[in-house]
Amino acid sequence: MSSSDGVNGDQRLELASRIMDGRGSDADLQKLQVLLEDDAEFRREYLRYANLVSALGDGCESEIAEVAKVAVEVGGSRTVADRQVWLAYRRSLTLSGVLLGLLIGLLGTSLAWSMSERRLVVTVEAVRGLADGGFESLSGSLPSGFPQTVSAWSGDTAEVMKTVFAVETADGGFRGKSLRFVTPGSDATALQGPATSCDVFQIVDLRTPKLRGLRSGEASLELAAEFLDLRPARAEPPVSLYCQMFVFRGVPEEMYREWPRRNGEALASAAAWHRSSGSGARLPVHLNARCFLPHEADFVVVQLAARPDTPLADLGEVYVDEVSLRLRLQPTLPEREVLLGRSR
Amino acid sequence: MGARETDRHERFQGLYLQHEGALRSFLRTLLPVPSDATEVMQNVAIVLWRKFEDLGASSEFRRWAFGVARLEALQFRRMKARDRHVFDEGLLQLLASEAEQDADLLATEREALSECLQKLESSQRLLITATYGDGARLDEYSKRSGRTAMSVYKAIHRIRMRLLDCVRHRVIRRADR
Repeated sequence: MSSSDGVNGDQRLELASRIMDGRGSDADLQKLQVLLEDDAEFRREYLRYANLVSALGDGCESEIAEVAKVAVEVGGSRTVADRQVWLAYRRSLTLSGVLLGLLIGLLGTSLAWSMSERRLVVTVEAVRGLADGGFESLSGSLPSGFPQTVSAWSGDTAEVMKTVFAVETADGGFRGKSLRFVTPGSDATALQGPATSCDVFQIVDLRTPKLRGLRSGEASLELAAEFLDLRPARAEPPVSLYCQMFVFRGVPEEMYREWPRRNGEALASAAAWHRSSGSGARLPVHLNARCFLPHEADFVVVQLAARPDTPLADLGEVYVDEVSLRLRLQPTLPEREVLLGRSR
Repeated sequence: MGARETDRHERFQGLYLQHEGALRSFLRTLLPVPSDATEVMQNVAIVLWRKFEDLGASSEFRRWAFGVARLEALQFRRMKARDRHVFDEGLLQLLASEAEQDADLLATEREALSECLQKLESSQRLLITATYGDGARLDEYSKRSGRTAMSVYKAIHRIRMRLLDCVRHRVIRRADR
C-alpha cells in the first residue's frame, strides 16, 4: 500500500479488524476494497487475518474458554483433527436452527440422538495442578533440588530461556520460552553418586474433590512434553530424553526427603523416552506417557530428564517445552465408535 | 430412516464437520462483516445438504463446498449491493480463488492456533475468552472491565497480530520437520 493512501501497513489490518468486529462503516469497507484490489501481498495477509478471526470467533470458542482446562475428545483417538471435529460438532449444536430443522425434519431424530450420545464417551482435561507447563512464568535458573512444594519446577541445573522459536512481543519482550537442560546432577539423597542426568521435577497435587470421587479404572493420566535438541545433527554424545511420572499416596511436600528411594512404592508410573543425537532440521520430539490413576492417589511426580551417554559438563542446546498433564476420564459405559455419531 | 438415508446423513455430517472451519473462514474472507458471513453460512449448509447427491468422491467435498459458498456469497452480494457497500464481484471472485489456492496453508494455521493460544498471557486469554466466548460482545466486555471500547478493540487486534506471528512460526516449524 502506498503512503499516499494515508494507510500504513499496520493500519491496513486494523481496518480489516474494525470491519470484522462489526464496527466498520461503508466507507471503511470501500477503503478496504481498494487496498485489497491494489496489493496482492496485502490480500495474502488479509486471508490469513480473516482465517484467524474466523477460527477465534467461530471455531475456537470452546478451545479458548477451556485452554489448559478442558478439551473434550472423541473416540480415544487424540489427533488434532479429531479434536477439531469434536469442537466443530459442539459448535454445530448452536448452528442455525435452519440447518438443524432441515436435518431433523428430514432425518427424524437420529441427529439429536447422536449428539446426546456423543457426550458419554471420553473427556480429557488438564490437571490444573501442573503449573507453567510452557515455562512462560519463569526466567533464568530453575530452583535447585527436588521440589518441596507442589506446582513448582525445580531440579538439577537448568534455565528458562528464549529459543529460536520465541516470538517477539509489541512491548519488546518475547513469548515462547523453553527450559534448557544445562548440567547433569546427582540425586539429592545421594550427592556423592554419579551425575548422570539433568532432571527437573514438579509435584502435582491430586487431592481434589473431583479426583477423590473417581473410581479406579475410570481415569488415566497423560503426561506429554515437547523436547528440542538443537545441537547439530549427529552431535556427540547422544542424549536420552525422558518424560515420566510416578503416582504416590501420601503427603506431597514430604517427598523431597525420600526421592528417589520411594520410587518402588509408586502406585503407578509411566515413561516415554527418546535418544537424540541432535537435529539439523530442528525437529521437536513429542513424548507422551500414560498410566491409570489409582483412586487412592494423592500426588504425582512429573520428571523430565536429559541423560547424556557419557558425562558432560554442559548439555548444550537441549530444551523441553509444552509440558502438559491431562486426566482422561472414561466412564464405564459401553464403548462407542464415536467419529461422527456412529454407535455400536 | 432407512439404512441408505442413514449412511447419507452420516457421510454428510462427517464431511461437513470436517470442513466447517474452512468454509467459515472462506466466507469470512469474502464477507468480512460478521453478520453477513453468518447468514450466508446458513444458506450454504442448506444447499450443501440438498445437493449432496451431486458430490462425487468425498475427497472433493471441500472444493465442491467452496464452489457452493462462492455462489451463495455472490448471490448475497447482488442482493445487498442495492442497499449498502459490499465487496464488488471482481474482488470477491479474486479473493475466493486465492482463498481456495491457500486452503491447505490456512487449515494448517487453524490447527496451529490452539497451540498459540496456550502461549498467551492469562490476561490476554481472558480478554479473548470474554470477547469471543458464548457470543459475548466486545462492548459489554469493555463496560464490565471499565476500559473504553476503543482500548479493548485495540487490545484484541494486538493479540490477533501476536497470534498471527505465533502461527506463522509454528507453521514454519512444522514444515521443517
